[in-house]
Amino acid sequence: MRVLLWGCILFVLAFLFHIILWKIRLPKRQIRMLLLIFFGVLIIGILSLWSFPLPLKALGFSAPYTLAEYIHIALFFISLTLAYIVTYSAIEVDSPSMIMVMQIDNAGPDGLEKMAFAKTMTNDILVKARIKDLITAELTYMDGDKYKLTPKGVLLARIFIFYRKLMKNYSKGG
Amino acid sequence: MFFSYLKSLNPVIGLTLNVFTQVISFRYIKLSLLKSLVLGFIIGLFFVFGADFYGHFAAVQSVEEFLSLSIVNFLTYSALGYCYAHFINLGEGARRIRIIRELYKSKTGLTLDELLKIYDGRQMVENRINRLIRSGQIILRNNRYFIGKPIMLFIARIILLMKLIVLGKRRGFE
Repeated sequence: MRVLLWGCILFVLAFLFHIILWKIRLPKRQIRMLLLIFFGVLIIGILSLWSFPLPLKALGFSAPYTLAEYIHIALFFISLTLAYIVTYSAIEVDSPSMIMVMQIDNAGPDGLEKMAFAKTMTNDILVKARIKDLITAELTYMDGDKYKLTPKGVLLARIFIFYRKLMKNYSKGG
Repeated sequence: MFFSYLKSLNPVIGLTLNVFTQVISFRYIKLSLLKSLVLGFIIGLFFVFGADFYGHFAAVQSVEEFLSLSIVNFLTYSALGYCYAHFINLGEGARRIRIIRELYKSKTGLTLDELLKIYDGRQMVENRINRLIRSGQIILRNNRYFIGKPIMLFIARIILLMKLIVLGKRRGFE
């Protein structure tokens, strides 16, 4: 019960802290800030539980006893955090499929005309905006008029290329 | 001692099985990407529940403790499985990853025009529309698009709601 309780408490605390910060000011590099907040709360939380078990007991809460319980809480918290951050990327960057579905829904019972829909889907929205995101995330940079990958970008490309080879997935993707 | 760590690391072992099954079933059994992901998730989940049951009887836990640990492990495993599915989907569908892969292949970098030639937004829209039509999410009738199965629309609305809560955006997709 302690793992479930403390895992949930720490996650809710981190989430609330993130929402409050976001209401004050939206960070420029949101994913990095999310990682800082969530892992910061986890480390401080675990250290507090480890250091002050008695005051918690006086308040009617029982701190974890064993190292295995602390590992369990950390794993539970980290998996929820990663799932949240993965979902957050869908909030941060609009998926074309979502835009399409919402546009069709907004058109109402008469549906959306094929040509009218095609006109709204421009390279400015679909490609150029994403290239700009890659520069902000320091995955690419401009060298004259050319876009090139930073070492971080090269690493990310290699991970995905390796995995596609592992699966023998030769579709173009995207 | 052994059971304490098995309980903690159970979802990670489940995820390993999930990944292994997914890759094998996609690469060798030639299941579709979605079916391989579902199969991998189910196999991993069986392991997680099986190990929880084994731990319950072997370590003689109370029912309350068993239930709370099963909830924690189920949530942890589901979150990790969700992240893995997202990783696969990123490699397959994300514009940013596709652009990074194209830049990696080019070695000397690419200009904006060269990138747009390789990765045309209109072609990408066409691919996604076809995917949505094939999966029945949208219907093309008399040159007009209509909503078919409401799953994508439901997901889009959840993301809209999250946008409103986290980012305070009322306009939705832009």
